[in-house]
Amino acid sequence: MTEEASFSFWSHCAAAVKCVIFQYLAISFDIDSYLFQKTQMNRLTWYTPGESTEELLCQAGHVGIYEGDLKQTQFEQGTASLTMQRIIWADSSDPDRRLVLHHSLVISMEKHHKSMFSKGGKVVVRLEKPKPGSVGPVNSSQYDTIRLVFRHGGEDDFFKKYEDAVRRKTWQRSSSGSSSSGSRASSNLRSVGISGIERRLAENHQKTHETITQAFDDMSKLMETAREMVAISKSISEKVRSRKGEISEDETVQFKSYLLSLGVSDPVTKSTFVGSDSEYFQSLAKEITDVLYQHIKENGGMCALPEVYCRINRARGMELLSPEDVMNACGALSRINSPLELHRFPSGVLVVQLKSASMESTVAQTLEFVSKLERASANELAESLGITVILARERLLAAEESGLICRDDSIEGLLFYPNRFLD
Amino acid sequence: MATTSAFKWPWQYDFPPFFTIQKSLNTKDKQLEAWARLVIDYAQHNKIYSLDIAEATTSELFNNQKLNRRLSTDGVNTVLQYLEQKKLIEFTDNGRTRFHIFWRRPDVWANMIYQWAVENAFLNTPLTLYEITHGDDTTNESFHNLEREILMKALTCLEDQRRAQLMNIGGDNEGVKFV
Repeated sequence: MTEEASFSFWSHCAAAVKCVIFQYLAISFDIDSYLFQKTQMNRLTWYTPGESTEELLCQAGHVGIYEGDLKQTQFEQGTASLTMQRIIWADSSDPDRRLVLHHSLVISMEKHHKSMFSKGGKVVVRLEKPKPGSVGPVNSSQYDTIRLVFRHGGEDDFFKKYEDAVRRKTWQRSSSGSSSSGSRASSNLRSVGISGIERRLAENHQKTHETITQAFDDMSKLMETAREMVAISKSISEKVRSRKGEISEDETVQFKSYLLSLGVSDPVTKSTFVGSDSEYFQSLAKEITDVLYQHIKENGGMCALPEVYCRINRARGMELLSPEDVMNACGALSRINSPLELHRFPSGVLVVQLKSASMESTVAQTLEFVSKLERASANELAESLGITVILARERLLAAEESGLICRDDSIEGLLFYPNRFLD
Repeated sequence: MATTSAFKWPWQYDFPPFFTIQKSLNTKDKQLEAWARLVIDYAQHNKIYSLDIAEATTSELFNNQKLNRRLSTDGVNTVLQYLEQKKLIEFTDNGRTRFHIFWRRPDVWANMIYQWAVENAFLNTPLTLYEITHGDDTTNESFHNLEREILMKALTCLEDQRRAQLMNIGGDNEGVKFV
């Protein structure tokens, strides 16, 4: 539970930090665009990041943008990218210097082929009057047209797709990519309709992806740190051991209690027993005996293997054991002369039980219980002995096997009676 | 299935585990033994010679209303298999839907019938089968109302021992002559 809580806490923190960074970046963008306001054109606007669904339709390199009939421009050479909403032009010499021409401003367009005298194929675009408040290279212009000059060709394809994109008027349905272009997309259109839902889904998707990436970053860091923590705790406990004299008794005790509160002070790890599995499992078996003996003794003399697994790992805290290791270690219990042993019931259920709690005595105990109640279910036995229902059931089945009790399987459930058939 | 006097159910009938086929082999043997005895006793008491499985499964024999327990269909089949193995019942059809209950084995019936014939001086006298099971002379005998198939088994048994002679079987006046 606590692990989960801290996990979500970290991911929230990460998300918050990201938000702040994004806002900072957005602000710096605005400042940049004001600094560039020395050029000519007023319908073009400075680039702002579009929505995530914006899809690249076509791209052409070596494109210049000229205003009206002018032969001079500040935007001689760049890459023009066409999307469903706008054209984004990026300067070849300075990729951060980007212009945007939104389709909503386009009235008409025509294509001029490359001639002997011109520098390349052209697309001439007739534009509407600018909207007030647009942030572009310049605030007023006498021309209503803009020429896109394709020095290295590609204008045919670009023109066809541009015309198509303008005709479709997708920006009316979805939100405008460039917030400052003053397009017809109003703010309440942004979140309504199917496109709004789609956009929100895409945003959520993006956000989840980021959170997960961030979270796993944290996780791997946590793992690294955990390893270090174990190493530190080990070295400390070694130091404490070697310098017993120098540190006062009180301090040692306190230190040890800290370490103990982390779980087992010096967990048996596989790395310390390289190449000798059986020795490793025997040490683990010893550890299991230490941790579980008292518990098993007080709780019916039996403990199912999943519970053993949980308890031993709970006690260790870190350097967790795999289920396979726990099972092998339990198998090694018999080799180390432990008061516990691994027992397999005929049904396949595995338990760790006290050696003293042999089958005969538990069977007799079970019969006694059943006789006292006249009839008993596994639940009742489990409650009475403080063992799990699965174990209680196993005991009843064992007693049944030896003919002391018999079953009554009805809609009331599986009940057991003293076996009067064999009397 | 009219009951003449109240049938005395065995103690097992009031023991809920009786209605669950037991898993432990020894226990199961004892249980099936008890079931077999119960089925035979019940049939004898109610003079049942043959039973339909569907009918039997719903009858009070396999249903204890008081305990709200009934032997499952599988359980009934297990009991019947046990009975068949002990030659106490015999299925009459391949579909195993109906069976004869031999609460007396056919040779026991045969002896009883022969005994009756001797005591009433019917030796060497032709008798119809109807006379034996439904005639006025046999109203007090236990084989009164005995089913035809079982009677035939008993008489065939006697014929094998050359103590009877079957006549006209399949005809109108089926008969037998005890010798």
